[in-house]
Amino acid sequence: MDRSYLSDPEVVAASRKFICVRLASYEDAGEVDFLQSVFTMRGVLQNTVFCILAPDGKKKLVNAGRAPGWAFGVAEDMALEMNEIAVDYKPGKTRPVDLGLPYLKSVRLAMNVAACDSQRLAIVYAPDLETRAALEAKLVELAWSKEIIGRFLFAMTKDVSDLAKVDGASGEPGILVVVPGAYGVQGKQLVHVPVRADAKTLRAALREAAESDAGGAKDSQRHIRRARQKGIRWRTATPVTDNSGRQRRRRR
Amino acid sequence: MRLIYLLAVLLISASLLAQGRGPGVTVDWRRVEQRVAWFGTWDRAKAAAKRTNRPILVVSAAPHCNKVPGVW
Repeated sequence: MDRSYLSDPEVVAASRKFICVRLASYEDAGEVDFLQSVFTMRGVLQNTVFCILAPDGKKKLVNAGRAPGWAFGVAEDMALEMNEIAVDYKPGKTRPVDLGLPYLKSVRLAMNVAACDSQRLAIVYAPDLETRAALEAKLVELAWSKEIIGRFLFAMTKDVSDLAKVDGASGEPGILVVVPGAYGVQGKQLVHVPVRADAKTLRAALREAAESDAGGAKDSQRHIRRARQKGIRWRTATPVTDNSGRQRRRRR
Repeated sequence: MRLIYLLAVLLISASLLAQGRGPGVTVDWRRVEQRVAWFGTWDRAKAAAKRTNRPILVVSAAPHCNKVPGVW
């Protein structure tokens, strides 16, 4: 993934006028179909895909490719183009409830993605729909606030067994803030906000958690080596179709 | 030809080092003040775009490398 564009401050500022979606490439059959409609090479879904679409989710507004660099020379160009595109669509004032919570597909996947991002993860957990809805109503207002936006990933579950890999999780319904382990196959609970907590308490807990250390840069080669020594492997939900990385390694 | 290759390698290395990164080293997110707020599923992103009339920035990536999780 090309981080030099997506971590650029001007691109991040422009992204606030967009719906930004980052899909895990081989984790959902329906999303694989969608990504294939956006970009393939010789009919094969690539490991990475990039595009900007109109609000209908169909019309391409820039050239699709594997990364932002396929459409823009530098990050500054990307930010400029994004700002121009946003003007064309004149989105009105958006309420957090219109956006909803930007959940990942599952706790398992969210923990992995949080590890990739060195990011904190907020998990909404309650077995019943009514309690989850109450928790979400409180959380959604904060998730898009200036002080919290972009500082957490989000997941939801009604199944307590999804929390089995979270050290310190009690199994009580509420919002768990979790820091993932290096490989994202387990995590540690930083804080648990119970169902009865008010919005002010939740805000204070998230603000404090947002300041906690969720890790920094990773050396990919060392990371992979150590994972292999520990026998840690990731199983994708759908077949990996882009073997270019494996072929490159074989040629070496 | 070799000289051009060597210069290219030096330039890329200098660029990475200037960002505080070596080859194969990811972004140090501790140094990044603001991040993109990502939706994690297409269904939710599409619904939000429809409700808000916002254009959609689409990215996909595999959260594993050589079948190892925890790194893009």
